[in-house]
Amino acid sequence: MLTPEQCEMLTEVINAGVVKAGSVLSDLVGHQVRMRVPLVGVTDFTDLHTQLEIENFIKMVAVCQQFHGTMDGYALLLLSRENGNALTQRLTGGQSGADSVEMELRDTLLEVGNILTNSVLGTIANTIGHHFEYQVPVYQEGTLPEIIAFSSITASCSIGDSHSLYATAHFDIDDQRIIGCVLILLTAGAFNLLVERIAASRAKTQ
Amino acid sequence: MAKILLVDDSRFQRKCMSKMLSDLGHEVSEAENGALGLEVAEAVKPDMIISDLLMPVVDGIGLLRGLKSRGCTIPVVVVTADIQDCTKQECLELGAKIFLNKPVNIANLEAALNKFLNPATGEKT
Ligand SMILES: [Mg+2]
Repeated sequence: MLTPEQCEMLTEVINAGVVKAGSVLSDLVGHQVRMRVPLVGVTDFTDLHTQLEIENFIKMVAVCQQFHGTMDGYALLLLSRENGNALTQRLTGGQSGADSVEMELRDTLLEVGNILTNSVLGTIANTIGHHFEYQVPVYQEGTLPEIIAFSSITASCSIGDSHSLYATAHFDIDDQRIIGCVLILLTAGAFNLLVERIAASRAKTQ
Repeated sequence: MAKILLVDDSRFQRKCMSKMLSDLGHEVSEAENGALGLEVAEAVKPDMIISDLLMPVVDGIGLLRGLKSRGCTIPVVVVTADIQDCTKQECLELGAKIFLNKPVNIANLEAALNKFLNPATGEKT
């Protein structure tokens, strides 16, 4: 469980990252993007769909940005397949030069996912003086449980780990209602270290 | 007009930036990772290299190291999604001239290019 103080600390840092991601996404799509204040908590993965308000049967597309080093985990850009298509269409106008619609979706979302997850993770890193070592992002399709299971395996994170942190940020591209979220999952060790580092960087600035 | 080598594993990003560079009147060659980037740099002898960081095979840091070890003086502009302060520091230490975060627009790309292609007039003649 998170103490209210830990929760507040994490939310503050992650929110700064979410604001950054919102501004970057707004630059990409050329329109105002609304970001919801992130939700931070500790979960077991069977309940993640409730927290994210995503039904377990919906077909999703995701970009998984793994990170390693002293903190292990991954960040996901998650969208329904429908919203993924809408965002891709919005960014390429169907003119990306890719060989197929599938490839265009994959190429576009990989880069958008890379940019958005890095906005959130990089803001955290810069706040606490940490360096995330990133892997090349991976594109995935499937239901939420399938995506989480696959991401956790490739990132070598235990999905049964009850101390795993989730932080979600919903965005909503104003004129088109394209909705998606960025989700960060950390291993128990990484989670404890993150809380420690945020507390230390706070103590320094106060 | 200058010869620009664009190194990025993202087809989406290569398409976007290649269009901007052509619109600015430059000749663009592309490579999808640092290893191919080094090969193309040798063959094409570009006036400037624009490189991503996170790429398979050889990443942007590997490309910067490779250029440095070959004594190559072609200016490199790093364009990356990675906003970490220490990443920027590392790139500048390895010889990158400018560090930009994605997404870039045509104005900041042009400003970065003009700084190095011809510092006096802002244009390569
Ligand atoms: Mg890349």
